[in-house]
Amino acid sequence: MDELDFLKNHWQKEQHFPQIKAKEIQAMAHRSSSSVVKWIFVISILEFFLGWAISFLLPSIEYRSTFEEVFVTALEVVFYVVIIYFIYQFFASFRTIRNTKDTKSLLTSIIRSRAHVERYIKFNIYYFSVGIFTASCFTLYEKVVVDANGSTGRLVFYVFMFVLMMAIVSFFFIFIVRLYYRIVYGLLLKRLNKNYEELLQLEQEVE
Amino acid sequence: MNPELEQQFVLLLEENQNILHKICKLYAADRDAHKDLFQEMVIQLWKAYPTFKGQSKFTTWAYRVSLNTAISLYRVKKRRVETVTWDYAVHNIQYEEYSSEEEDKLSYLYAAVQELNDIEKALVFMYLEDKDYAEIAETLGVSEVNARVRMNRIKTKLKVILSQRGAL
Repeated sequence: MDELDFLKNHWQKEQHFPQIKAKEIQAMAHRSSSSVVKWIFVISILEFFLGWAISFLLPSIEYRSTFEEVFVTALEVVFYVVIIYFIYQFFASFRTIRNTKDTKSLLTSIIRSRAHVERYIKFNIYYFSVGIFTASCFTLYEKVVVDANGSTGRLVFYVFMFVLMMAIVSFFFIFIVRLYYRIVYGLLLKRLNKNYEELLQLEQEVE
Repeated sequence: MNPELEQQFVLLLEENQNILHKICKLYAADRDAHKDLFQEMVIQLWKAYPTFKGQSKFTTWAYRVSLNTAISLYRVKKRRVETVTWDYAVHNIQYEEYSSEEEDKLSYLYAAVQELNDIEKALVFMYLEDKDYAEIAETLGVSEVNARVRMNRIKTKLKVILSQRGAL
């Protein structure tokens, strides 16, 4: 008899657990869940709000040309269409999370709905960067044409300031986003991803 | 919620609660974690209960939801040191019919199983519960062959852990 069968013999006989009364089970059933999925849901909703709030941080500019107005409006339309798409995708995939599925399907559905939110956040960052970049380009163009007056010194100064500002903003955002994901992944998804990878690995095994 | 359904659920679970305790025994590191995990499993089972139509046995259904809770949904709270894990695993054992040598072996085995990863624990749990490979594979969402292969590897892994501890 191998070790596990020896343990099995004992396991089958062992029924000595403190028994929980029906009343207590009933009370437990109505307590609030602290599952990973619940946390993912709450955090995702907060992220959606954050993404939406970021759109207000974009500098509001007075349009200096019709081209600028059309361009910025088009960007905004794209932004809202994509946001609505992401939110729809998130809710649609979130609804497929069921604790009665097999383990692999359950893990897949959790990871998939989380991935929608990550794509949403990435999109927001790209959008924000494009927004800052566009606004800066318009400003730079105006400065070069109107203020620089052909002076090379000023032109170099403006371009230098522009590059510096873009670099600072980019670094700041990359830092914040990395830190944020490290915390979220560390707390919530590390174990989940590990188990998912373990299952994938298990499937690749051959005798 | 339908009070009749609730009553039915509570009674079924009261009767079959050892399934949950046994899963807790493998996944929870200490008594507090055992209680926490037990409660989360009850919450998850109750949440899913309206969809339980009795196509399968209550226990088969409960195995799946409870294991899913332990593997995918439960958030492990880190609060104790590892030595307590060991104590907890050993403490729960009842040894009435075993020789002292067998007692030691059992203690080491329980401790060795605690060192396996979450998926391996699920396989071991169902094996100990005398489930066949078809059911194990279906619960985890993998193929039967792979479940069998992994189970053999676990047996070897346990042997290695035990021999490292000098228990073989």
